[in-house]
Amino acid sequence: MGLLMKLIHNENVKTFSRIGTWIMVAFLFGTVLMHAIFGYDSYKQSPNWKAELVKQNQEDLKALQDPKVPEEEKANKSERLMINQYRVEKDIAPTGVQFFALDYKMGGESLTVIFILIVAAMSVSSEFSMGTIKLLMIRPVNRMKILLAKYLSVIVTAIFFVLLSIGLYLLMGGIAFGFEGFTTPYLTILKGKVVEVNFISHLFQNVGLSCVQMVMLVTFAFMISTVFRNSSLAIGLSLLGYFMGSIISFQIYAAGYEWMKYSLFINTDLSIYLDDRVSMIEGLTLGTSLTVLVIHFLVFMIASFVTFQKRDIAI
Amino acid sequence: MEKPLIQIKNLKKKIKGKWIIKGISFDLYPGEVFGFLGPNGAGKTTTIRMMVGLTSITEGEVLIEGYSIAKNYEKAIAKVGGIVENPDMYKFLTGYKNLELYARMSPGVSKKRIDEVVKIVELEHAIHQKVSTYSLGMRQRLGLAQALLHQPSVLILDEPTNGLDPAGIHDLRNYLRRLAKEEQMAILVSSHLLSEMEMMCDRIGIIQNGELIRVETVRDLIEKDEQAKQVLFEVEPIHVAQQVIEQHFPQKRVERVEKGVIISLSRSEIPAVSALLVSNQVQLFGIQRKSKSLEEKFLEITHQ
Ligand SMILES: Nc1ncnc2c1ncn2[C@@H]1O[C@H](COP(=O)(O)OP(=O)(O)O)[C@@H](O)[C@H]1O
Ligand SMILES: [Mg+2]
Repeated sequence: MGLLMKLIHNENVKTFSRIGTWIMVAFLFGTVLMHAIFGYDSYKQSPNWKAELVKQNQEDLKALQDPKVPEEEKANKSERLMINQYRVEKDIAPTGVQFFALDYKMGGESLTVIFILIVAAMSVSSEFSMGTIKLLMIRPVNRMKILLAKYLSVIVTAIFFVLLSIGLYLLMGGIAFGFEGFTTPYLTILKGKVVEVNFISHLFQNVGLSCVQMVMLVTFAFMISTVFRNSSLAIGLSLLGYFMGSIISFQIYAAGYEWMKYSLFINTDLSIYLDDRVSMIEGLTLGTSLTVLVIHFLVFMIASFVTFQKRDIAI
Repeated sequence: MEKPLIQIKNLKKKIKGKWIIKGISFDLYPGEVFGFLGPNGAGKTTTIRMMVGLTSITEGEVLIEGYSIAKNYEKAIAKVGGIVENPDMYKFLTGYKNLELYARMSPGVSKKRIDEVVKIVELEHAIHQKVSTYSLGMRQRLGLAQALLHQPSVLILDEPTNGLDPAGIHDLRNYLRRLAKEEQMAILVSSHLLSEMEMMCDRIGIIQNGELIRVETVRDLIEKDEQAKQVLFEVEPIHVAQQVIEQHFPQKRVERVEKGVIISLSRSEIPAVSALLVSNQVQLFGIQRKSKSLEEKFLEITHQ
């Protein structure tokens, strides 16, 4: 093992030896279980699905012709109608596990992000609060390398939590609604047409895109905790960003502050660019969004590494 | 003279516009235990933090085996094992897991070496328990174990006797003396308590208000001590002793106490007085030189 790998291993040992980490795992397990139990009825598909969909399709058609229904709702309904008509036509039964696992975003994801932000925020500041930073630093290892190992270990932990979370959704979804849904094609709309895609790869594409935001938040929390050595501040600010960041940014933008479109939280959701779609905000493209993300990432990293390298450790 | 393992040259530290360390210089040689003594707040920990690169050096330099801690950090620190302030380790891990973490950070530390240091500090019985269950004394031992892992040539221990009971201090003294002699290490031990240092160290540097006000061998510190001291002779019969002494040393005042007599004598006068007593058939049970201990001497020096 190279030195950096050993250092990352050390950090992983610390994270996964903490009782708190395993409490988080237990929480995650409990949340997914609750989601499956209390959502059971709404995800469960009836054997009569065809007759039910035919009926729903007629209602949707009617709604689409009704001038009183708002346009936005119509757009949703028309997509649903297309997919459901395709289902009936091609005899592709809807499966509960697919809907359940994709709803990871509404249940397990926030919990996963909260846990990861806690881990990121504790990584450096807890070494200071425990006093262990001194014995950690008096080793023949460059400070930069120690901090890089800490950052990479947080990323490894994040991947672990995301995979665990998705794994729990697939496992419990499979148990509750049947594993055959894993191989049933997932129906989505691409360029105005219904297409069949592989469900698992669709799921991971979704999760992967939401990880962009998570990595940015983790890097932000890591920076705050390194610069201010205060894990509460890091957790608080990054959670605020997670829950409120895009809403607040959009409101400031809408209030006429044009430059807000280059702010972090307006650019973290890259899924808006999927399937050749464009951003609601004028002038934003995948290219500009990626540039904004890279610049923020670099600023966070440089701030962390410069302060860590220079800091006097006097505790 | 041998080459020093550590050279401290006119070391200074300024914190928030105030000079905390005002120019300290000393060298440490292989095979010696150096006591770094001073009252609380004198600047021991601040000096040590600079020596191990935890904080920046405002002025001056620290060389370890010739490598500058500021300019060649990794090379310099590789030779050093240390404890700064408290031996803080990961409490949620066992002692052994803690040592494994540190072992991975230095090249060439084997499992065998971990077992070896555990044995040296006599923690075999508790090494697989969580550090949260350790007493402060056990944590000091674990701290010493991590400092020794990579077989450094220099040990820097900040107040390692804190939290040790007398038996623990005795053991520590033995390890340190042995390491200095057998491994030819240079060992710096800081303390604000002199009593323990007296038997642990070869040389003592006294620091006060950020200045090293005196560096001396322990022997010199004690032997220079030629001023007259109160000496208690436990004797019987007491009145005979008093008579004999007053006869031969008419200028001395002899004080009678319950156990014997007390006279003010310099160190070199003691043999003459005891010979006198014995030759006059006075039974001599003991002599206590109310010698100023190093402790008192230290107080005298630092409170001048
Ligand atoms: N980070 C700091 N900021 C301000 N003053 C400090 C700082 N660190 C140490 N000092 C001051 O420096 C002096 C020396 O402290 P220290 O080296 O801890 O003493 P010792 O270890 O000898 O007890 C003390 O007066 C302390 O108040
Ligand atoms: Mg101190």
